Amino acid sequence: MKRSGTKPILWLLFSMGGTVAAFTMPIIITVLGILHPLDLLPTQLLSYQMIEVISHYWIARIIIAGIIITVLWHAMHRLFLTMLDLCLCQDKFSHKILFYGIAIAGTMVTLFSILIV
Amino acid sequence: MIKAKHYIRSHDKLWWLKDKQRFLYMLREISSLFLGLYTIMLIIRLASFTAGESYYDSYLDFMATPSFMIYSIITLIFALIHTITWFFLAPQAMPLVIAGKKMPNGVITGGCFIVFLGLVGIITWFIKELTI
Repeated sequence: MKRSGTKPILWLLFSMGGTVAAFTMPIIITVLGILHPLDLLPTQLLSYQMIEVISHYWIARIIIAGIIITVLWHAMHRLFLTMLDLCLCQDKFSHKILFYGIAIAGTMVTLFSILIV
Repeated sequence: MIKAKHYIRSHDKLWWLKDKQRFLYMLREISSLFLGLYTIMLIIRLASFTAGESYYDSYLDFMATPSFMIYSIITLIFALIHTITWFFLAPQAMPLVIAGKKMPNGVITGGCFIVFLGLVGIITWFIKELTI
């Protein structure tokens, strides 16, 4: 088997993303996806103006981008392996690019949004 | 001439339905699909915020539709499956050695759950502070 030079980086992103997702995703989904749409939170909390205030802090931008990028890479890497397990995909470039392409595109959109706001 | 025989692996596409262990394994792994989709939703939220207030408000309206609520609840269930299984795997992935002694698995898993509950506590406190 040929050793790929990207393997250690992918593995680091995978394990970091898994840990970040384990600690943050249930909270993020509960707050952003359930409590906020049901109007159970103070109205100003996730308003445009509030996020604008938060975006002045670079640490907040780094945390948001860090969570999104690591979780995205974790999920896409694991989803590709699951697709192999399910025999829905093969270990070849044209299939890999679907998953890692989404991860790369998502990373670029995230960084672009975070940097120009 | 002798033709080389290639080994063809018989692989049933529904192998994961054969027994409970395999089904639980697939349940754990497929959580990545829901986490991935949700991260894409977060990226769209970020991009719509960057695009401007009207885009962000229409994103929020979209989030409040019943179908999206159901999707969020399903994703939350899978996210919790990921959290629980990840914490139970943590001692194997990251064995902790303190003063030459290997920490028992329960300590690491328990520690993860305590940190997680601490995070939940901080967020709840923060929201309560803002409400009053």
